[in-house]
Amino acid sequence: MREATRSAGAAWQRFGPLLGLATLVVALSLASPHFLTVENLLNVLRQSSINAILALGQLLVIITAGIDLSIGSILGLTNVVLALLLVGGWHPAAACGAALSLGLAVGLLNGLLLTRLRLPHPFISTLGTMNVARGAALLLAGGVPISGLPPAFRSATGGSASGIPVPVIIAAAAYVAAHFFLTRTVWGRDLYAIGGNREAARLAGIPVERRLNLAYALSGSMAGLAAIVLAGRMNSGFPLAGSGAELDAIAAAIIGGASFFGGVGTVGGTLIGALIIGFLRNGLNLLDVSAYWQMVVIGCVIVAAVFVDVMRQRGAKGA
Amino acid sequence: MAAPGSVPERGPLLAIDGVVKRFGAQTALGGVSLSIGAGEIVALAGENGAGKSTLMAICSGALAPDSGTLRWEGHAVRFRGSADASAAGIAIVHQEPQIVGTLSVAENLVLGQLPRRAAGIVNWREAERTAREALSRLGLSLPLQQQLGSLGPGVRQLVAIARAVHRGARLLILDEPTSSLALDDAQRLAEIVREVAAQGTAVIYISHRIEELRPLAHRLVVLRDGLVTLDSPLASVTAASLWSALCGGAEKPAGGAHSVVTVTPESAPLLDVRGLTRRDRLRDVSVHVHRGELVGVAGLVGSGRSRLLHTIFGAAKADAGTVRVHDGRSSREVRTIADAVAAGIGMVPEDRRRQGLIVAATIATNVCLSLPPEAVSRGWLRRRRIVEAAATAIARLRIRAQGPSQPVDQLSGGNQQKVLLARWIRAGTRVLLLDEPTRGVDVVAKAEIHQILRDAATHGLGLLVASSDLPELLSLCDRIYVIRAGAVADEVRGAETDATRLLMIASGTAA
Repeated sequence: MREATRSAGAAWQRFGPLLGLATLVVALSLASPHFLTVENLLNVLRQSSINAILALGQLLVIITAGIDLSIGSILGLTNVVLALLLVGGWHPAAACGAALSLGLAVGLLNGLLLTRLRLPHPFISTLGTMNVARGAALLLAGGVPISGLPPAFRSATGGSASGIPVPVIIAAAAYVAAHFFLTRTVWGRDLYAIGGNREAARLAGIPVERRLNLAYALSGSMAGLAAIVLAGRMNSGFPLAGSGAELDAIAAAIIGGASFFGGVGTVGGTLIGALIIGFLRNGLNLLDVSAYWQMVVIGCVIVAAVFVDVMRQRGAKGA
Repeated sequence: MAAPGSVPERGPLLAIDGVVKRFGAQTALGGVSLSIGAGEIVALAGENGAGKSTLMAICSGALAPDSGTLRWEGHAVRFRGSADASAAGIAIVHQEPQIVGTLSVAENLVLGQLPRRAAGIVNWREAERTAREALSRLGLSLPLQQQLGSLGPGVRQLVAIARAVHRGARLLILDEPTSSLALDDAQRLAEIVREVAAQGTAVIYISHRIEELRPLAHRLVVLRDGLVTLDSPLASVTAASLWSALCGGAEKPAGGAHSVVTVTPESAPLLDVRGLTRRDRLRDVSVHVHRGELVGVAGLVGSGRSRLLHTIFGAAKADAGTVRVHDGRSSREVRTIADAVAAGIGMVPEDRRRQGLIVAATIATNVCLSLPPEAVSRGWLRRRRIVEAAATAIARLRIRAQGPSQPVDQLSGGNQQKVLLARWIRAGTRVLLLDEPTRGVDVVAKAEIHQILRDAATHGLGLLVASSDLPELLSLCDRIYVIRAGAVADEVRGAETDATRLLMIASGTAA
């Protein structure tokens, strides 16, 4: 009985997101004639790309049984720094490299606060950097958007290649890399082990603290990558960019089957989670449902996804 | 005051009869009977995992027995939760008692039952009066307004006991109350327990410190492997009978096949531990293990058995002392877990589920949690090698499983333990540290694990085995170090001693 509940829970966690996405797409196709067009689908992908990239970083951290609240603010900070460098005449490639490095550095700081200062929970350390990074972004920008980015940058990051928007290509590349990182490398495997049982991982000789630093650093650099995409789309640096974005990223990872208990979560699932959020927003817009109702619907989907995870955990404990 | 031996002659307050409790394939209690009368103090002892906690959870309603009966004041009862048992008058005070350190002494004494006036306003005067009454009943006087957390662990126990008694507890269960207490606190606690019993409350006192219970308890009950192995008045219990009840010393050690590799005395030991010290937990411990040797570590609970293994492995930092692994002419010093693994030391920890396994993950993941070098190539996993390593382990250690991709939480305890052994029994491992290698596994798996360990020694590994199961150490080990209070009390040859003798050394009662 318990066994049945539990394997059902595990199956839901695995295939539930895909089933949900498929149902959503079918339902929206039937409900709106404007939904199932190449133009609209590409539009959803383009709009989802920033959240999808952020969710990837969040996934790495959630797999270790952690959380990263600072990615929205890191996005804002790197967005401003990138814009300042570009306006200041840096070569776009160098400026993008700097943005990625800055994201990585702030993320690493998150890791060090956790592993060196031994703050009790990543919720605390990343809540701290969340505020620091946002404050730094506002200070650097003087509280106002920075506009007038060079056309070379805009055309490189904001345009399309063979009809596919560049942000989608960037996100796709990040997803492929993350998939290989998590499933094929020692570092990725160690993150699952740490989230699955931190003490067992430590006693098996896995360098737990170094791996945690890596997870938070990568999460920060994903925020840096998202900032580059955003700058290309908005053609400016905006110090309040990404406010609340960490919550959508957490939602995407969780809807995609990642577990807050740690040790569980896939790149494919996270992509589906980000797409479910993207399609929901897009479809409800097409159906002329107000933004307020959209929040209600997305909230319900998050609770449902977490409930599936909790069912799986209860099954595992009972066995 | 009730002196030991003068138990009021009445029917038992609580009578447990033939209680059985299983968790999955494991039997925690295999038919336990026990009774206690009003005003009686019963001491309950047993090694970790003997079933004490399960038994007390059943008495206090937190668990329901699979079979057997509980009679409370002569009537059969079936508690449907701790609330039922607590309403009947059964209270349990845990090692870390259920108090709120940030609240005052008075607030803790009326916790959950704050007296109120109309409209929910707290009646503080009444609260204080109740608190004072609860304390004075046991002859205690404490600063009522002070934060309880600032008053030390002893006071926390006393407040928890005073609260339970004041709320009408007629059976008080104390779960290792002195394990974290200083001596004077422990004496104060003993006086209070005596006072509680004199007022007619029955007390079940769980403790490992049997000697301090002698002047206090009327009767001693010992559990081992889910069965009562001793139940008699404390006055008539000798050290030898106590220890054999605790650790099964009466059993004949099965087989005496010691390792065949002869140790040349002049060769440097494989594992050489010198003067290991860690605050007050380990004091100047020097042990060594040669190639092909099976060496035991015996000691009572809390003696530092596990601590020693963790410190050798680098999982706990040493304040002083050295750990070295010699191999031919090379020699490596071990300070961290990374050093230990690099030097070829592996460790199988005591608590499989908490320290050893990722229970939701597959056999392959768990066997290769410490990645064997052949399974990695420049940071990339060679996944086929991992599956192969797990398949080999399943065949070689006879792990009963469907295959490498089966989750370990579907395996029995014995097979889970073999998965842990398989992690370290591999090319490159020279020293294996094992903490309670056969706890909670069935008899067949236990024999198989023993054979695996003997085979490993035959292949030249050095093994250091800590265990509370003395017959296990005696049948398995060439030499045994006996640890007492964090120091090596003695070193004995396995063939030249018996369990009773070992326990006398471990408890400091040897002549």
